[in-house]
Amino acid sequence: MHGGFALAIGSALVNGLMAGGKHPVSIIPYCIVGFEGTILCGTLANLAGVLWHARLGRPALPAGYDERFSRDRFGLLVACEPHEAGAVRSALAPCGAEDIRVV
Amino acid sequence: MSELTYNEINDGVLSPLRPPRRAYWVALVLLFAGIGAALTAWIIQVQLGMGVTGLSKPVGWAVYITNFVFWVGIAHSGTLISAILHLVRSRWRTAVSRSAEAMTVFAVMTAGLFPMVHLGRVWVFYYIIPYPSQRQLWPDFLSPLIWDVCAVGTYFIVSSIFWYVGLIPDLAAARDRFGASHGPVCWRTRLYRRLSLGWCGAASQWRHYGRAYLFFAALATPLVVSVHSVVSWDFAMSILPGWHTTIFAPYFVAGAIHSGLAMVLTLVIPMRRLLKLERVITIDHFEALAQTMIVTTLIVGYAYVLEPFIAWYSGDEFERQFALFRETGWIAPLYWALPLLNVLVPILFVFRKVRRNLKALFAISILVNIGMWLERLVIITGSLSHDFLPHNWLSYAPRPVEITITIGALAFFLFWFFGFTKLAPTVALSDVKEDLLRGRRRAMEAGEAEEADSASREAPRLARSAPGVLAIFKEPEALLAAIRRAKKAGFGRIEAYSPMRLEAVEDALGRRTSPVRYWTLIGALSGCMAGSRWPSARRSSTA
Repeated sequence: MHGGFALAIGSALVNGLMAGGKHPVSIIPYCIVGFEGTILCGTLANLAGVLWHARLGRPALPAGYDERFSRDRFGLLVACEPHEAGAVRSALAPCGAEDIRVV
Repeated sequence: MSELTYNEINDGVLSPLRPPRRAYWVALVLLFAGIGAALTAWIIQVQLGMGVTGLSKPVGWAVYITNFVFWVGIAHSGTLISAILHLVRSRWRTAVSRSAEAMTVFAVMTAGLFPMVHLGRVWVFYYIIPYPSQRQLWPDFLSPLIWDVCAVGTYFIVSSIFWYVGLIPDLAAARDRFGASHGPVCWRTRLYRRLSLGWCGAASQWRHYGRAYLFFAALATPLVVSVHSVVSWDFAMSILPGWHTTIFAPYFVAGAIHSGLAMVLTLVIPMRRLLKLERVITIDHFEALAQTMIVTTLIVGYAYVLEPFIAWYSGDEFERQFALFRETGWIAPLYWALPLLNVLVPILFVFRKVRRNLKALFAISILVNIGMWLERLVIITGSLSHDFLPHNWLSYAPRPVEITITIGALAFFLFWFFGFTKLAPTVALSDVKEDLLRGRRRAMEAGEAEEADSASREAPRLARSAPGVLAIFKEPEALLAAIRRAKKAGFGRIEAYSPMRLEAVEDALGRRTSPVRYWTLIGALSGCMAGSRWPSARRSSTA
């Protein structure tokens, strides 16, 4: 992991350019590089986090997915054993579902 | 817009993705010709050298750097509309945010061309990139030009990610629409299937997505301020009269947002008409944009007054003579055009009639675009052509190569934007649908309190192939009621699907927090300063 500060400080030490007898490392201007590194790596990690946790990147859609879910309908999938399907149906029926099916 | 249904919004936004008409292709060919002309001019410049441009001593920075600053500035409003207005929960942003984000990405791409064009020897551009060089040559991070590379490079990556992540649910809507109408093997269906990354609108996805989007907005907001501040320091870090001033950062940021908002109006007004989006993008959205421009107009106007005042108040004779030069020298016609085009014209937005007149909005936005480009030209060439030494004073005029590349850059920008309007949804579908729902959300939240005890038990996440019973509802309230009934009946393994984010559903499922925040925090901290062993290791290797 090379952060913005490490990149700027490391570069200054490798270059070793002494100007006016001053130390080659100057922290204040490196704050800009550190800041940009913070934002960049934070964004990339945020992207990685959402891809991982939202399970994105797998083109296969879940069983029972209805294309209307991206348009104007709302779905509820209740996982159950086959013998429980009747109980689930009767629990959901009073809620005004347009369609109830076993998937 | 409130009278629209979710289905009408879907159709209205996705219908423009149908195959384009002949006029579209003609426009695309013309833009391509413009890009070709610019490329030819650039090749001529590379072959013959920078002598074909108007650049010379003392004006070594002119139209190319003007274009760079202008296009980076244009890029700012996309992030303002998407990120900053998202953080402050502004409702009007939803209709124009996606176009503004696309504009941001394409504007940064256009801006990024100009440092390379300006460099002349474009093949050594990679010297500026910090990479482990065999020759131990590293960029000097004390230079504002290197800060610029870091800032603009970061901005491009972050803006692109922000735009793409925002598009994912809408690309899934396009995938489903084209899958239904054109079949699964249609190239568009396959394209959107790949790009939507398997998005299915599950509550478990919306939860992480919503949190991540908030963090993207939170990260992009300070970035947008930093980028044009850093660009302004390209000038302010020097000692030239007119450049060496502390107001440059806020002056540039306000100017960038000013020009960016104007460009949004310039692009979205014709786009709305051509793509028949009048029911989704309404005059109220344009009015809100115009109202925002009043704020930026006042800040820019304040900066215009402050510049000569600082020159006078400083007592510095070089600053004073430079202010006099801008007001009376060869650059004066351009200088005096700035308050007219950038302040006096857009301040007409204080009148409601002007704000709600599309022709007036479009005309004013064009004038502000021209004015803001001229502002950058005046700032950049003015100080260089009139520095400390009278025998060094010269004027500048752009040559045909520079003019061709400048026009070609505009064609390059528009080419990408035209492509975007036919390949991706131009309006943030899920955001607009969520906006519609917001009015009814209060009722849903009231019911939610009754079920606080059941909400505290988090529903486990389902496997994608989990067998079960699927119920489909027309209204989100019914979905919410069904979740509660299912949980009451003892069924805890449930998943909800929706075309927009429903926080009440996430609450009912007991899934509000997202671990994405830890990823972001760790990434940000490591990006700031990790790798402390590395510099010492490098030092010892070179000793």
